[in-house]
Amino acid sequence: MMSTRFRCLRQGSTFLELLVAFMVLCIALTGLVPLVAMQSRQLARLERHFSPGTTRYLVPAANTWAQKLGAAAALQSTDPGLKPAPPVLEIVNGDLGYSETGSGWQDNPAGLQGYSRIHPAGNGSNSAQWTFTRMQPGWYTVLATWPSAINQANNAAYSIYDGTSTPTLRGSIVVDQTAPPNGVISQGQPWQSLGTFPIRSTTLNVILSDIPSGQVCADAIWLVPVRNTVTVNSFTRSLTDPTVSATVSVTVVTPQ
Amino acid sequence: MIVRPNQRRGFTLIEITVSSILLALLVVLMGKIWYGMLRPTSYMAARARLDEEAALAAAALARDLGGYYSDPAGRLGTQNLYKFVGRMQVSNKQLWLCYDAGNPPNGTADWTSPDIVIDYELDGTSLIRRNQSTNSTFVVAQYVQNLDFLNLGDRVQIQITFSYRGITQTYTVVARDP
Repeated sequence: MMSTRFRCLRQGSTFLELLVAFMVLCIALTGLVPLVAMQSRQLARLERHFSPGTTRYLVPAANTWAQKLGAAAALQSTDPGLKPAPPVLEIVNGDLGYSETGSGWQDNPAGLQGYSRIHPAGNGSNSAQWTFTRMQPGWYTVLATWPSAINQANNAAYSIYDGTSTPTLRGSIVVDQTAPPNGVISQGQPWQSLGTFPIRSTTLNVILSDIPSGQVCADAIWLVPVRNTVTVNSFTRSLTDPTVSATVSVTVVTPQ
Repeated sequence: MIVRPNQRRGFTLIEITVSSILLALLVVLMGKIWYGMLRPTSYMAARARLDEEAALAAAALARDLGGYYSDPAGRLGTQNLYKFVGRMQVSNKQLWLCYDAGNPPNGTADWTSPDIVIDYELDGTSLIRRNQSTNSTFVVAQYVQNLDFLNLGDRVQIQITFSYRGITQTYTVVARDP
């Protein structure tokens, strides 16, 4: 029987082989598409956070204790503007923050800055108000000064309110304005403490109303923050789960 | 029946023609792939690298300009201890930050012990953060071409130019003093 076997000596590729190789190459290149998509998404995400050619702003946390315990400055795209000024803690009659309601208030050529405002005996519908804004919540000692006069009321009442929309009365203190304030001397004037009050909002109002028993005098109000001395003894943070927990050990010394 | 062994050694004209067409198509396709996918991928990877470097530099600055000495010791003590008290731009190429220390802290920037001084500067192409008190340094970013600090009163403008694989990008941060 004759042999049907023969040697294939062809050295090149068939058209089918080329086609298959071409298809394999196309499939391999298709695998690059997710890589390109991933890269472009990562780039977009990074540049959303911080992109070249734009200015980003680093703004420290507003709370000092947050800063102390490790809050980094926030990176933001909007200009935060100038650093806010510290809150005003002393308001003299005529300053921004001092206002009067009703009528009958008159100048008095005596007081902390050489002048004050007086109101004759009335029915309580006229008042002077000292408004402290941008306050840090906490405890404050409220002090008042006035130039004493024999014709002034010996039962002038200062009321301390916390907040603006629905203010909370923190205290109402009666003082004798026929005598000088009894307390510390500051700026050459005596100041009398009206008490120490907790402020939970960012606004504190002190109101002095006219009274039937005599003339009242509105001069100046001074706030002294009362702060505890806090010492951080240890601080540990756990980053092992999505919830970051911190353990802080502190010593608090309250003012005497 | 006699079968002759196939002794053909070359290609037919049709095979050469088809192969040439496919080869040309392949070259065109590869070119398109290079310009459309591979080159942008490489470009994007380089840009992403620069963005990451910039983000790391911004994170380091955010920690140090947060208001207190950012190392673990800065968390301890009273509120005045390790507080940010001073900033200097040395020749507009170095940023020095001073944190108050001592017992008790004196509230002013002394720029020497016991205060702690951290500085940012360029070392070759690396942006480094140096703790002058402990003389320890670490590299914040590697591909920095230029670094500028500009005093703006109660702020400092920090401009960092990165360069990597032929791509140059400039990032600007304005930091407000704590």
